[in-house]
Amino acid sequence: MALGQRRYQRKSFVIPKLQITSMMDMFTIILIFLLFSFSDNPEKLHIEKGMMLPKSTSLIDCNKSITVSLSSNSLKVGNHHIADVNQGVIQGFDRQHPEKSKLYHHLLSIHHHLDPKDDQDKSSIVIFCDQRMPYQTIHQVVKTSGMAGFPNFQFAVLKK
Amino acid sequence: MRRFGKNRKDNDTDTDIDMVPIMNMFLVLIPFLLSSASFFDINAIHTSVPVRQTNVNQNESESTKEAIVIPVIEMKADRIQLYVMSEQISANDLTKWDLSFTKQKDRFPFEDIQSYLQDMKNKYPKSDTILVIPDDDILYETIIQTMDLARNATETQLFPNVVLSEKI
Repeated sequence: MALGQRRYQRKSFVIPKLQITSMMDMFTIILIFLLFSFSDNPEKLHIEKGMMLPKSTSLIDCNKSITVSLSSNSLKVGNHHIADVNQGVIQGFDRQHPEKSKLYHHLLSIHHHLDPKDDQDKSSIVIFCDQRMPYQTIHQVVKTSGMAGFPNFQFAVLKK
Repeated sequence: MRRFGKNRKDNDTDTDIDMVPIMNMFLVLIPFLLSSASFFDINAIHTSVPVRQTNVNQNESESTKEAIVIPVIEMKADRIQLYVMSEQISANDLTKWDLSFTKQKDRFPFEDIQSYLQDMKNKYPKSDTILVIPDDDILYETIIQTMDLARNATETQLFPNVVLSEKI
């Protein structure tokens, strides 16, 4: 009898309510943050590890065309490794004869494959360069690119 | 009294808002926004190197308002030299713009240079090109800072076409 009473007194199982208020708060914050950093034109640009781009007030979007990456240890055109860079000096680059360099020949071959009808933005080079690089090194790249048929550049910068 | 209290308890309804649809919406929205979020805002500064002109179309005008000048910024390790090139202005007028700004406390006086360029733009509003000639050891960051101030003042556009060159 006593056992039966105890069974009768046992409360029926209630499904526990999930407390989602805090999760809602978190999602709201994430959503607002992502809405602010939403980009209608997301570009996948590969930046070398350790490269520090300079900051600028420029508001012009970076067009994804031919990219030249000049970091503290390598020079690349797109994903193609051109030369090693050691203490701001491009290895194997003769300053007096840029037309003999690997960079010149590579850019020249790209220029030959370009459609002459392409607009200026498509035939310009985007230069990703470390902010600590001296002008001497940058000028070698810029001058060689100009000789290979790319006189217009875009310097990639971070928004200030 | 006891009966009244019992009735109130019976009529109580669950007023919790159903959050599940909102959570579902969030779960769809967040991956979408994550995929199109840009954490680095990369912009560009358009520039060029000097190219040989084959066809020079000179439409000379006598008035100073119509004259086009090309300011030159020479960046040295310890100073910035400014001067002007133009075929439409006399040599005497050009030399008035020769100026040098020395480095102060490891920093170039960019504000003074900008006001100088602003004066030049006011005098020759049709000019839109500037030549920047840095020394070999000038850092890229400093060049970008100089290009920024040459292109834009606080509200107005100064010389949007920046040409990088070397000293000849």
